[in-house]
Amino acid sequence: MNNLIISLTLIGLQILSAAPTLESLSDLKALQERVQNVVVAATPATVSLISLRNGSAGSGVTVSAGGLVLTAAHVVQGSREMIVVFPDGREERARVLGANSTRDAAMVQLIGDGPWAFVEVGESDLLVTGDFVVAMGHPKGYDPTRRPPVRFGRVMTKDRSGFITTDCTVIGGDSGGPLFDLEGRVVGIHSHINVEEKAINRHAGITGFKKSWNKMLAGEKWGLLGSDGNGMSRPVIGVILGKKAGALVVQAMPSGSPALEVGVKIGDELLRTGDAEISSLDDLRKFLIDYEAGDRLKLVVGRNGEELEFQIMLAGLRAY
Amino acid sequence: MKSLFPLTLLTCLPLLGQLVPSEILAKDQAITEAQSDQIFKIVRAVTKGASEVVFPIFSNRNHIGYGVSVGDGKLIAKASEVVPRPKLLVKTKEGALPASILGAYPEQDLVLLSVDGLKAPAAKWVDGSGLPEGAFLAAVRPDGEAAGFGVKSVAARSLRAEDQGFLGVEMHPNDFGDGVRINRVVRDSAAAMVGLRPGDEILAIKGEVVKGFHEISARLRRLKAGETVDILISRNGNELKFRPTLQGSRAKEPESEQLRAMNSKSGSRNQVRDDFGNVVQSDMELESSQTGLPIIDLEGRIVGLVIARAGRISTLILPSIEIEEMLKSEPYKLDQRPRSVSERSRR
Repeated sequence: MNNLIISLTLIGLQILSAAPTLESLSDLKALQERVQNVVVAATPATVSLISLRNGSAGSGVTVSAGGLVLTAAHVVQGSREMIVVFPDGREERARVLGANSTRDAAMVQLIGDGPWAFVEVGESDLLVTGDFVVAMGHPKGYDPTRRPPVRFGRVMTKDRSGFITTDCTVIGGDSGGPLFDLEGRVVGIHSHINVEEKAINRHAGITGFKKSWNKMLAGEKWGLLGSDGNGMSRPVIGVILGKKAGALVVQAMPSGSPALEVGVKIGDELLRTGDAEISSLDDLRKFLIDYEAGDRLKLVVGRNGEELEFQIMLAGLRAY
Repeated sequence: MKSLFPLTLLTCLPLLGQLVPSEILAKDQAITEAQSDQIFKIVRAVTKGASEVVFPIFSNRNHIGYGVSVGDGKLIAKASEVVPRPKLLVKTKEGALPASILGAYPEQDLVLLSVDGLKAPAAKWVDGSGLPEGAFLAAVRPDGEAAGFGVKSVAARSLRAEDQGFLGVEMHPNDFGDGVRINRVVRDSAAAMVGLRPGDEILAIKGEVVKGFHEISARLRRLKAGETVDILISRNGNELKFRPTLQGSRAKEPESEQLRAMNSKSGSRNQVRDDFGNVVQSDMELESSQTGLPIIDLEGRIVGLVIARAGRISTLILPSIEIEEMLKSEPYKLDQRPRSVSERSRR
């Protein structure tokens, strides 16, 4: 019986995750109406963010009545406070909270009394190629003669580090602005583009934001833009791993390795970090995107058929 | 070599050499291409009316744009693309017909062409100003296919600085709080004429409290030149009221180096692309050689005409009501106003 339920769930998921198809003019009109509804709901929450330090301009989106704003890490880089301009011209100030630069993710907090117009946060991991999306933002900086320009497009592809590529064209000033699904939920934050390809506009996936949420909220800043978890300063547990009969096995540990220090041994099988099952190097790398050197976490290994648990402190790759 | 740009307007660019664009896999490409085909096929059902009034224009066998029929064998097309070019030919079902220039509408950057032997109905212009942002739009080719599909990104507005209210005061962009200090008053400006002075603090505009440079700038730029506004200021602890009559902004902000790089690498752009008094912005992707195409909504109504490809995110559309109004007046003869069109194209 259990098996049956599981297989049904899988079928359900497959149906949900198929790219949408359009067959008639009425389908297209229905899609148009959904896009317009997203625009109405999203406009008042799509803000322009200007650095008090150097005047550079990006965008952001309010995601709570209390004034939490999501933006891109490179928009707030080096700033402690930002100028916020709402589409109606209202000006406010916001305090920079934390940022995970590897995900190009950041949070700022509006100063002053709410409630503020806001949008719901969605889930980028549920998006599939072909899903319709709407991009908003303040390209070229805040412009009082217009509302945030609407861009419509599809998810072109997703990559393993949580970025989404769409054909919603974005440009300078859009950075940090929101990408919406057709329910009007934020699913991405504009990050960077390939200028020679109009179909390559990249957005930091919101699921990645959620993984870094509490650390950003607490004001932590870490990571390196463009490193996708492969940068020289990335956090490591200090083991060289190899595959042995399907298992991920510790083959060597350099001196000073955090794993070596707590008693991990060569030949141990890596099972879990934190609460995440690790069965490949890719799993481990993805997991560590939301961590930085100095963070403490649980490490579970298998040795002689037993599970052993260690608390380790992550080191920076550069430390070696 | 791929060029990757972060999207803030930074004074200096961070090093992004390590940012790798995700390759779009063939299977993903197939999905989105099939989807585009579906959309373009559906749109085809409503393109007939528009396809019958649009014609490609050639100069020395080069395709330079399109023209839309306004009846009596006449077409309108983008002036700055057509006027400087020799030997204009219009391709029709009956063959290639020579076209001559009757006159121009420099305000809209349009030219009126006479085409001998052209038999085409006049375009039926329909007011699309009621379409909300996010409405679907398509540019229609003579063969009935959509050349581009996108949304109304920004409702009709003027892109001209002189249409925005200008008071003539300078403030620090970071100033914020109760009263924003004037650092300098521009000579002969509206502010100077009513006696605003450096050191005055602006408290309210039109009775609404303002609390920062960006807010004040937004309020003023949304007003029109010639409008008289109430401005409340604080001077030496006293509140004073002034009623300046706003002028039009004098200088347009130039496109930054960074934006120019992003825009110019993202496909071709028209020379005349920002000097319009009333245009709709769309995210529809077109080339600079596709100006003059009629724009339809999902009902197939002609709501405008492509007047410029302006950059990566922007195609500019002249609204139908603007064109209808324009056609009520006689065009300028090119020998009467020989410089008006080319002047605009140089700005």
